Amino acid sequence: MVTSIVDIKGLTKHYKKFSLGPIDFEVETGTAVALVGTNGSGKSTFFRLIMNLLQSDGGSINIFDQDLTEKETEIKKSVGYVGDLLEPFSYLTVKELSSLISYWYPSWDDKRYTQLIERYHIDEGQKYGKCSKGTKKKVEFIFALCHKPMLLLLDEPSAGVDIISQRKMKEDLLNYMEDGKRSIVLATHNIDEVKQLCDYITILEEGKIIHSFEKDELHEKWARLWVSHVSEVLNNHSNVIKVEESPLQLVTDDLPVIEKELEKEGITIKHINRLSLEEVIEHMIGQG
Amino acid sequence: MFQQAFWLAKKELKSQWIGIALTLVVTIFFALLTATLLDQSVRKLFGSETTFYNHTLLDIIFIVLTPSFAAIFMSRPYLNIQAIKDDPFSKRMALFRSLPIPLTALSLSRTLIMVMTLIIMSLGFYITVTFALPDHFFQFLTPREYLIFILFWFGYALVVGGINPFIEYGTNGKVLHIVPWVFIVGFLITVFIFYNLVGQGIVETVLILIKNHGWPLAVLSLFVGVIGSYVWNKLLTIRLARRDYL
Repeated sequence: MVTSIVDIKGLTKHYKKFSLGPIDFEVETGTAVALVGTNGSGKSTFFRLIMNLLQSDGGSINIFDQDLTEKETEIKKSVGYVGDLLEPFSYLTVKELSSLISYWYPSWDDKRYTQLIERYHIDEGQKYGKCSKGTKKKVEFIFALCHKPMLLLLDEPSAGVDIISQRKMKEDLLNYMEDGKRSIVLATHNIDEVKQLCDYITILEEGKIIHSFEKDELHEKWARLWVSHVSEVLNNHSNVIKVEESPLQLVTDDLPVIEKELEKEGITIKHINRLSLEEVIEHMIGQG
Repeated sequence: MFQQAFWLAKKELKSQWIGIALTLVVTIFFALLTATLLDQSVRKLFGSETTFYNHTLLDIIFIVLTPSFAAIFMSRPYLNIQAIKDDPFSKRMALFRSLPIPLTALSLSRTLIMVMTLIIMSLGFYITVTFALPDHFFQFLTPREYLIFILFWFGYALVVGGINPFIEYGTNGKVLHIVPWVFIVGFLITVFIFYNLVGQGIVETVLILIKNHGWPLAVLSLFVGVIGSYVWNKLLTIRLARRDYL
């Protein structure tokens, strides 16, 4: 049976110049969801609402089948969050920060913490404020992992991180997901992370979810076709996303359907190219 | 819950020792000034000589300054105007709220930090005042009356300073920097109105009341202080559950 680890319904948050939602969002146990969107699309606001750092204007948030407002402390024991929250404690060393944070997690694994600190070459004696941007991200990432959370909420965890550590982070996240019981929601601008880690992709634009889909669907359905000509029917077809001239080509979000339509219309396909994830996301945001 | 709150309060106070030390130094400086004024006040009230001194300054010290002992006022959030924009207390609280800390433990830890800070600064202040006072001071005011006087003002500082955790963690950087000025203006107006109505300073009046009524004044002040802090703590708990941090 597939169960939801996160179940959000009708979530809204209004500011003077920005509104988020209403958002319906679900994360199944054992899956990783990528949250993709342009800067200012509301990804961080969304995470902060899930962590109850911002108060929603409407809707409900259930995590592990429990209402966030009722069981907040219990829920947070099993959630790891990366969201740039350590900066106000820049006067503390990494070791002091770990002591401040680990106290609150009964499941904190000191051995794992030491192992990760060594793996990412973190100087525990260094003041957090003196760490580079990438190191700060790595420290936060380590803190999010060490209490063995069932859900990871990662808001751009690898931004500014060196490529070697990025690879290590991906490895650690893949290991984390290995038992099939843990889930990730990952906001990122790094397409490789989406490709390698995520099962589902949710596109957030101007505070609204404009698309949610399974990653593997994309490869099967989205394509660019070079064709002999384009009929009126095809031009207005709901699965034709874009038609471009010279050379004549069209972009579709459902290749099997369009192939049949082209055959019916007697249009010759000269060449087919599957769309990359980046291209699909670009088209979706353009459509949204 | 108390154990968690105490652990967090201790941890934070420890990490802010520089701010605490600087606040203590400033507090001791004011204590030296206070000792002179207090001695002059007691000589004027209970001695035979006619003494002229600045009773307004003495009132300002006790009315305005002693409640500020509840805050580490020589720390960056208070000294740096950038705090209006940066809102450092809310950002600190954002991390705590992201951790599995019960709200009650979190708000209690704020109150404990306030009380511990107030105790440290008050000890520094009153011990310095006591040592700086001349020997003849206790001919006019007995040690018992002097102790009642200290406890009375400690209770008062608890009443007004009790609001501090709420201002720091329940509001924003703008309010943090505006509220002290509102208080100062309000207190100054009170000091002047009081003098015009009663014909003597507030501290002078308190000294006379202590001579006449003794312990009940200290007990009442401490009682109101404890109740005030309790109420502000409850309000802070509610506020922490309902506010945006970022």
